[in-house]
Amino acid sequence: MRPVSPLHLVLLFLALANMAPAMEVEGTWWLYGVAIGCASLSCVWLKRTNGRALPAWVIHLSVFIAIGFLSWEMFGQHEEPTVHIVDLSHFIALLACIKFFECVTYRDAGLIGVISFLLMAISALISASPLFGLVIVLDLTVGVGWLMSFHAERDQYHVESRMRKLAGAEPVVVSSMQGARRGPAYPRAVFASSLYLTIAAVTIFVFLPRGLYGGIFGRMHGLVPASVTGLSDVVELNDAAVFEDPTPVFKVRFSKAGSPIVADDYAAYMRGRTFDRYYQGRWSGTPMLAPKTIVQLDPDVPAPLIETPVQPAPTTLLKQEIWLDSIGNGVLFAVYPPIRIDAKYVKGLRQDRNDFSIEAAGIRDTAHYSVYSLETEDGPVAARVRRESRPRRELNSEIPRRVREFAAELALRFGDPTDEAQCEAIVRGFEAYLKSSDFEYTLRRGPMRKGVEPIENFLFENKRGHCEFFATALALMCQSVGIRARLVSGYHGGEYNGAGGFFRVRQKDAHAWVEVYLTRRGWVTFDPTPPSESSNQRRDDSLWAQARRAVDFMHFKWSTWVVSFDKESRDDLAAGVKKWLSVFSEDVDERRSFGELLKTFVYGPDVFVWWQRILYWLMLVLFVALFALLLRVVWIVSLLMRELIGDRGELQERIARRPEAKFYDRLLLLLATKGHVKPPHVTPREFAMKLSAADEDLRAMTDFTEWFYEVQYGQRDLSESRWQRLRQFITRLREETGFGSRA
Amino acid sequence: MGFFSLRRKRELRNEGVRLTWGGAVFLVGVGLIGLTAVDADINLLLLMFGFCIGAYVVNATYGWRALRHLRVRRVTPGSVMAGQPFQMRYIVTNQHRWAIARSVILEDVFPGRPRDEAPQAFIRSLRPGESMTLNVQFVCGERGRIPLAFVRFFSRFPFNLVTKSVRVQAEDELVVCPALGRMLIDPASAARSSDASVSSATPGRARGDEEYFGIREYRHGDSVRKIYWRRSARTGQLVIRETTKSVNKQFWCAIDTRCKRRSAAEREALEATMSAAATFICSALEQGASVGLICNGDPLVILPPGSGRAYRPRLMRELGLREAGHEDSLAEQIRRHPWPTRWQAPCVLFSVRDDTETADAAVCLKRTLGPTRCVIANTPGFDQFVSLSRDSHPTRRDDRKGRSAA
Repeated sequence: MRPVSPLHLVLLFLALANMAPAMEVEGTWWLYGVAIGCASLSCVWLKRTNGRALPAWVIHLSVFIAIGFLSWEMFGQHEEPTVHIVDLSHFIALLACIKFFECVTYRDAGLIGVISFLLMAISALISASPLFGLVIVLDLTVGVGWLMSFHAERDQYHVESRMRKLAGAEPVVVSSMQGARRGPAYPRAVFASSLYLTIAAVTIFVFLPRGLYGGIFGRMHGLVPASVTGLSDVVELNDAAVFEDPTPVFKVRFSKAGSPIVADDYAAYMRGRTFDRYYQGRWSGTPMLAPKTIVQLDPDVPAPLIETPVQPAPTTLLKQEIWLDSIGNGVLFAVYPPIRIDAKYVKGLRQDRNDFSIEAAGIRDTAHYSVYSLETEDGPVAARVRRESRPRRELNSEIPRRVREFAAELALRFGDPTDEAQCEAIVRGFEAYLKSSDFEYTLRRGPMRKGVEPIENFLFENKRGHCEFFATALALMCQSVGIRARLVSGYHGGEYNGAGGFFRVRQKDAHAWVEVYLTRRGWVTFDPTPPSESSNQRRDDSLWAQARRAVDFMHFKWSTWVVSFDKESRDDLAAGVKKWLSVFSEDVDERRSFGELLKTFVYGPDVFVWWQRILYWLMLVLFVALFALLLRVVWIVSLLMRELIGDRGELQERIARRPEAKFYDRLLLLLATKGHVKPPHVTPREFAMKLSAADEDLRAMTDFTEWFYEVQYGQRDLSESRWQRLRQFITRLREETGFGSRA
Repeated sequence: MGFFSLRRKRELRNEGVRLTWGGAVFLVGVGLIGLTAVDADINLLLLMFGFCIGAYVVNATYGWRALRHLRVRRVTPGSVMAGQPFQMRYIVTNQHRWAIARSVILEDVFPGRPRDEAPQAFIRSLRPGESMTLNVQFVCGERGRIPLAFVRFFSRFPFNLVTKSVRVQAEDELVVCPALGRMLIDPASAARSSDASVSSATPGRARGDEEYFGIREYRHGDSVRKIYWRRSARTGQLVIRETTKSVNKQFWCAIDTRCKRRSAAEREALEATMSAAATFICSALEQGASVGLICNGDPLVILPPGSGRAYRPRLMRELGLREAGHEDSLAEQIRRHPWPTRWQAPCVLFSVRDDTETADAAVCLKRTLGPTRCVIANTPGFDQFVSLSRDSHPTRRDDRKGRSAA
């Protein structure tokens, strides 16, 4: 290979790109810098020395240094727990750096390609970054094109070298092309190959069985990112990082006594589910076995959620008009405590009698409802709410001993936990402690080692985390000293839309907080989470902020659709496709004529909006490509099968042949080596006549063919003298090079 | 027979898909990736596994259409000299309507010969309907007949994991004549007397009193000044302008081809003998003489003396195709054959063995045809008669160097 050629430079670029995700895992960007430096230096070196590699001793010394570095990383580092596969990736990256300096031949280039592939495999094993997705895109475009050019050049080089060798090392033109346009037309091939590769990969990715976890290899790092959401049924504290997902969840319009709330900094706690039991880093709720069913008798009158002795004054009620988007597990969000609901279009309304959470029978589509929540703690209605919403008796959270002891010790600073009057002060003290500067709010707290209790790690070691950690800490500290507390997930805040007068609530507004039961006040909301940087910059609409949000969105989608894709995701996808196709089939059924049917098929159902239509066309193209690929595979397989079946047919013919007549097959094979191949349409007799006319040596073939007819079809046996003559002929055919050769 | 027949079957198969060595190794790696992905439930690894499997599918299916529609016409030189480079020409056409043939290797399969020695040519890209002429320079080391049965097209495009191959029937043959050397003595004087001394005199054609005779291929020892560069460039083979004195002579060249088939030394000696005989015949013909050929074997070959350029290929072809390995006595066969008196002429007898049979044949030839000289392989007389060393061919640069030195 010519060094410092476009092929060489693209190889270096691809190698550097492929090693990026592996370097990103532990942030060893300094090593990546070394790789870039080595690539640049190798270019300069090879150019200056006209393609001469570094001396061998330098290469060997560098390899020894790399081995030393690997040993130090594996056995000499004691600060962090070692992950050998990551250390191995560093070593392989260093080997690539060394190889850059002797990338002179095609073999060297191939080796660098193999090293890049190894790094990519390690990246796939240990990384969950969308950088990997970008690398795949790069490999599917630039990489595939490079591979094509590389192999074409290498093949050409090998053919020319071989012919030069055969021609006696003469500096002659081995092959010349005339009458054809020069230059590879690879862009089309790259596009087609990449398309087929993607189809094959996505098909395998989606349809390969999941959940066959054997644990031989295991996941090296728990770096799969997730998103805090107000929609889940459980809360787990094992996320290494969470991302701000801008997916819209619902729109909400607040109003009080008929007046809309237009303050753009208004932030209400929209409750979703509550969780009262903590066990090994996981919160779960205790749902009521017999929730209250809500029926709205009069469509114009909201249904009561709590039977109140008097009608509450409109000024004490906060109305929330909510337009829920399609994503959901049935939870209807509302500010605590909801006392009326107007949900005439929502089916199967039910309410948990303990925590007053409301849910519908599986919302899979948009829903519109209004909830009225009480805003005051005084009056008979509030008293009724306090009476109705008593805590569950069984609180069996498993709280770590260290946390329990610490909470008990800390509680003594603020009051006596056994005195119900001092409970609120203690909770306020806990809240203030968690909001102090000792603790830091972050979305990326990093991976935790196995076997570490997350909340213990948060309170005493790491002291960094997101809202779920803060809320869990407060809830567990309260439960430790005997104060009833529960974790609440839902949404807080939102983006105010001045034109519509509503708040747009997105997944990134998901939040977790705590409700503490105080005897005199009932369930009171406490939020121990300190204000985050992102919440301060919530309304930053600068280009940079938008770009960050876009990257965040991409990050989230990557982790949702690729990294965390599982059997349930596949089922959801199948259900989505089925639903989508059902729309199409309904639309088709209305039409009868073939022309209209065809038009509908090509144009798509009328109900589609423009982006759905584009998606539909893209899907059509993909399906056609997939179909073409399948056809091609079937065709190739059928060709190969035809060859195999052809042989089998030949075999069957031989099996049907008498054993004594097998000499003819032997003769045919030997004659083929001499250049006389019997075409299938020619009879043995015609073939023999042709041979005897063409070559003196083969004149005897006419006799042998007659014998073959006699033996095969006349059921006769060959005499010993004939066998002898036949054997002599076969021996001559086999041993004498020139005997019977095609003239 | 089993292995042999299997190999033959594979060779005779029209088309096929095979894993390359790299593809087989990569397949092991891909299997490991798939195993890891399924076992550890790592989606990114699974995605990578999908891409790798896709690469095999694409490699096995891509380019088939064009490969199956490639047609080839082979243009062979008919007869060539052993050890001398010559050009094989292939006119390849892509008959498909829209598929482009990319990165295809053409291989001319010589049945019964090692695959490593088959000539190959590379086609980078051939668009639909286009034709391409490939000129492949090649050297045949040994004389004899090479049957050309078919041409194989194969491609590893685009990822070099799988080889797709298609066989196209293109029957032809190539006759390789014995390698030519340089006569160290004048053919006329060599044949005239049986005890002629070895002469290193320059042939008459170098003295300048000759006339244009024709064009022939370059042979070691020829003056580089006589190379006809324009024609050489056009034909791809070094040729020289041949000049000769106008003489009217007649010679016989007799070859005793007895040798043991299994003896490598005797076979080698026979090849050297054939080369010496061919060199002698060519030199004599170049001088305008008529040369006849006698070769023992089954049947006995007697080509009466003839001259001119048209007669040379006939003699060379006979020398190229003559098989070794029989023990028929040359003297005996000569005695049985009637010899017209007009055929009487000096004769040179080439033989592998220095034995009584050869001496007997020499005596018989002397009696029948005229003065006969024996040239026995692996004897000092043979080395003084002809030089068969194969050096590199001169280039224009060498010629310039020679001129400047002069």
